Amino acid sequence: MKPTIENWQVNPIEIGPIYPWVGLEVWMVIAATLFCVFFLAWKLKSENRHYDEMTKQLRADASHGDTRQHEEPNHG
Amino acid sequence: MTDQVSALSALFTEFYYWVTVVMMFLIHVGFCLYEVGVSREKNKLNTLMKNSMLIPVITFGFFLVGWWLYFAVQNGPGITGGLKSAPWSEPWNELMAPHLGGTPAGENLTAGDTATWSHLNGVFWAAFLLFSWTAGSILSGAVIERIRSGAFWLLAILVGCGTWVIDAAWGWSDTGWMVQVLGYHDAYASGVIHGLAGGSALAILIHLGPRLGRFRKDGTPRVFPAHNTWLIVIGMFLIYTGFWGFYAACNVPIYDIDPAEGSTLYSATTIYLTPTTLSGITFNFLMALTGGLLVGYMVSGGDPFWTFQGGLGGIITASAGNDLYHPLQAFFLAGGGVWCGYKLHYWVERRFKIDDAVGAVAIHGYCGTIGVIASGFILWGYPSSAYAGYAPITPWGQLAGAAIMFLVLGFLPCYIAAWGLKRAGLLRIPREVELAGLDHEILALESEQRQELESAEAVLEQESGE
Repeated sequence: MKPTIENWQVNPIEIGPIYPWVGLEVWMVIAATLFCVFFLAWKLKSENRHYDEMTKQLRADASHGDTRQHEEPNHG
Repeated sequence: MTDQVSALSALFTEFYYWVTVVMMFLIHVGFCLYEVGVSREKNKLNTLMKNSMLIPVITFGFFLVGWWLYFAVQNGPGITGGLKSAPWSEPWNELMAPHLGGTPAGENLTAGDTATWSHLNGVFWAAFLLFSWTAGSILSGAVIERIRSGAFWLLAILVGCGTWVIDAAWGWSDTGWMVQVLGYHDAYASGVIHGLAGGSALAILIHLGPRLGRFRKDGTPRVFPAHNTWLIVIGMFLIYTGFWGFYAACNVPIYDIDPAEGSTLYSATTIYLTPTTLSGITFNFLMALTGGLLVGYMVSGGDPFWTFQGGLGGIITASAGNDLYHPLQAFFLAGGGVWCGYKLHYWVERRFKIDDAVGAVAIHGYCGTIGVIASGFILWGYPSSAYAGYAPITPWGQLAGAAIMFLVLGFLPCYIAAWGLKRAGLLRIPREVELAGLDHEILALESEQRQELESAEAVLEQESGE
C-alpha cells in the first residue's frame, strides 16, 4: 500500500493527515467497536465464572471446616 | 499559520492544554491511591484494578462516541436547534489523528477546520477525556469492596462517555441550551462533573446496598478502618494538585474578548468565553481549599479523612462561580458547603442506610449541587456567557440546572442501569466472596509462595550450617 507521506520536500501548508491507510478509518472504527464490545462481554462472562468457582470453593472449604469442628470432639 | 501571532496563539494553546492534561493525570493517580488506602487489606488489589482499568475502558468509549456527543447535542437536540455538525469529532474523521492542518483528504472538512483542529483536537479531546475519568473515579470510590468490576465499567462508560458528556454539552459549552435558556453558569464544573457524578453514585449505591457488616442490627454504622492512611493522604494531595490542572483546563488561554469589530483584546476566558484570569482563579482556588480544610477539620473534630475531603469539597462548592467570586466569598461558600455536605452524609447514611465508602456523594454530589444553587444567588444578574441575548444567571436557572445535573442526568440513568444490572445478577459480588475478600485467591497464593520460599531458605541455611 502506498504510504501517505512519501516525501517531506513539499509545501508544508498542503500536508494534511500523516498516518498510514487514509481512507480506511471507518473500518478501523468498526474493528475498535467490536473489540470494545468483545472486551466487555468477555469481562462479564469471565467474572461470572470466576465468582461461581470461588463461591463453590469457599462453600466447600467452609463445609470441611464445619465437619472438622463437628468431628473433633469425637476424636478427643 | 503563516504569521507569527496566529502560530504562537495556536501552538501556545495546544501546549497549554497538553500541560493541563499531564497535570490532571495526577487526579487519577490520587483517586487510585486514595481508594486503595480506604479499602481493607483483603480487597486492595481488586480496588486498584477496578479503578485503573476505567482508564482504557472510558478512553475507548470517549474516542468512539463521547467527543462527538459533546458537540452534537449542545442544542438538546430539539430545544434550541437540531443536532450540530462537528465532523472533526467523528471517530473516523482524519482530524481524530495526527494531521498537519493542510489540505483535507475528506470532503466534509474546510481548510479552516483543518487549520484549527489539527492542533487542538487531540489536546481538547484529552482534556475532556480526563474529566470523564474523574467522573468515573468518583463513582469508583463510593462502591468499593462489593461491586463487580464488569458492572462498574459499564456504569463508568455510561457516565464518562454518556451522561456527563451530555450535561457538558448542555451546560458547559459556550452555546449549550442550558446556558442560552436557563443562564446556567458552572465555570469549574461544580454541577457538571461533581453534582452529576455524586447523583450517579447515589443511584448505584441504592441498588448495590451496604458492605456486609456495615450496619449493626440497631441500624448504627460500623467504621471500617482504612488499611493505609498514608495512601489516602498522598492520594488527596495528588487530587488537589491535579485539580490545579483541571482549573486551567477549564479556561481558554488566549481569546479575543473585544466585542468591537476591528479592535482586539486578548484574555483568558472561561468555557463560556467570558473573561477571566489565571491569577483570579488562583486566589479563589486556594481560598476555597482553605475554607474547606478549616471547616472539614472543625466539623469532623480533626478527623484526617474528613479534613482532606473537606478541602476537596470546598473547592468543588465554590467552583461554579470561582471565575467571578471574591476570594473571601469563595472561602465562606466553601466552608458552608463542606459543613452541609458532611452533615448530609451522616444523615443520609443513618436514615437510608447508604454505605458511601469514601463520602463521594457528599463531597462531589452534595457540595457540587449546593455550589451551583448558591452561585445563582451570589451571581444573580450576571451574564452567563459572552453572547448577547442569553439568559442571565438567576437562582431559579441554577436550581433547575442543579436538578438536571444531579437528578435528571446523574441519578436517573444510573438508577435504571444499576437496576438492570442487579436484575441480571451482574451488579454485586457473591456474599461468600465479599466475606473472604476480593483478593482472597491472590492472598492465598502469595501466602503459599511465601511459605514455600521460607521452607527453601530454611533448608539452605541448614545446608550452609552443615
